[in-house]
Amino acid sequence: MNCREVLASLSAYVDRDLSGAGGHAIDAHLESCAACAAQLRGLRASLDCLAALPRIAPRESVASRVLDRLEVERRGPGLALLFRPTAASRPLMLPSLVHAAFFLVAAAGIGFALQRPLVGPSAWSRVGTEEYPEVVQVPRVTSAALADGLLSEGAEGSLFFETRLARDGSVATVKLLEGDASEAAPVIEALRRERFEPTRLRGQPVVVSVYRLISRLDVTAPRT
Amino acid sequence: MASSEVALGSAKVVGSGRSTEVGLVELCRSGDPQAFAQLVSLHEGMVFNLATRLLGNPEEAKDVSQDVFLQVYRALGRFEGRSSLKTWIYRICVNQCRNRRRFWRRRHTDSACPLELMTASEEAQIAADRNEASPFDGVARREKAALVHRALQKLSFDHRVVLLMRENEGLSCAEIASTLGVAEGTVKSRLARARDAFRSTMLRAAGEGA
Ligand SMILES: [Zn+2]
Repeated sequence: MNCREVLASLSAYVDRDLSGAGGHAIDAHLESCAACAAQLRGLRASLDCLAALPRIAPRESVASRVLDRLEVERRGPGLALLFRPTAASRPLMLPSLVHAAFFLVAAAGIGFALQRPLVGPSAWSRVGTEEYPEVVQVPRVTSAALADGLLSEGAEGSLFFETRLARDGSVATVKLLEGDASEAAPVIEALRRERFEPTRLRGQPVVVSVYRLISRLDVTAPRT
Repeated sequence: MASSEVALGSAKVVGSGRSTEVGLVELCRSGDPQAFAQLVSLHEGMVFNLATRLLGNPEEAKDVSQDVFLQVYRALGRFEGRSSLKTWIYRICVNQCRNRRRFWRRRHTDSACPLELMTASEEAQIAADRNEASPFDGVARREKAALVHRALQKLSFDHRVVLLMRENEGLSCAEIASTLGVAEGTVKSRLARARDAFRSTMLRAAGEGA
């Protein structure tokens, strides 16, 4: 066997996928050929690196996201409220339902939601292009203007807002994406007075959109 | 008063391991959400890991993983059981990643999509999982993993697929062939070329890094 033939069979050799005779011929060649032996060592070392590559696990369960999504689809497109346990109350992305918008869930503990108007503490933000948004951590609010009591007692349903932040963290625009405009007016006023920490992506200050669902939840008995 | 029973979509896995694959698929087909949650939980790790390595970006991998299982849910009625559920899900995952890649390429000239996008918490998670003996071990391991990841991103998509399935996911060539819908011989020759390309890329990367 010459070097070219040996190198062509190294992959099969590593997998022990050669006939007895073929394997022995390569064994014999490798004993006498330092160049091919070095190639084999290099191949084995790089494959070991691949095997040792750490497995990356999702931070949150994919299953709950998928089930939420299926639930939303069952209820039809539009703003669907989902109730989830506190630990799981993370934002939800439903990219294909509404163009360039992220839906999110702002249901905190159910007990909390029942007792008083809920001003959604969780939010989701994005930067990047419309087609390919990059998700970043929601910037911290440095001067909050949201308070309980912004929504009137009779208010029902949810308000879904987009706040666009300038690079310095000031609020550029607040847009009501979904919900009753007359109920939203005082909330929009309040949201305009907020201020955030500037967001940086790879060192550069960026414009960020923050999506928030603000709702007053009046939950009646659970479905049976 | 409502109780926390209102909670929808909390993906608690019940009775893990007892259902056989066939039984689980049947339950899913009958519309049992808990069964489907269990099916997703069983396979989400491999889908997310493969998607992250194929696309180079965990955020995008998260979206793809979601889409993969939505497609699984919708196509479950057409799953014939000729291949294993695992290879069938792998096939959907590879196809979704390939489509994403195309979509993304059309809009971005830079095809590289580095792992630097991985968030700090994810890196911390990896470090915690590995239970590092010393901080230096952690840094060394992360550096090495980043080097391997970058080398992988330089290969063609098809080479990356066979390499990851064989070396990282531990699939046999026959399983890979079934996943990709190609002959086993095709997988073997593609794997040989991919390994060679990866070895040279690693060699160059190690040289540049030194
Ligand atoms: Zn030789």
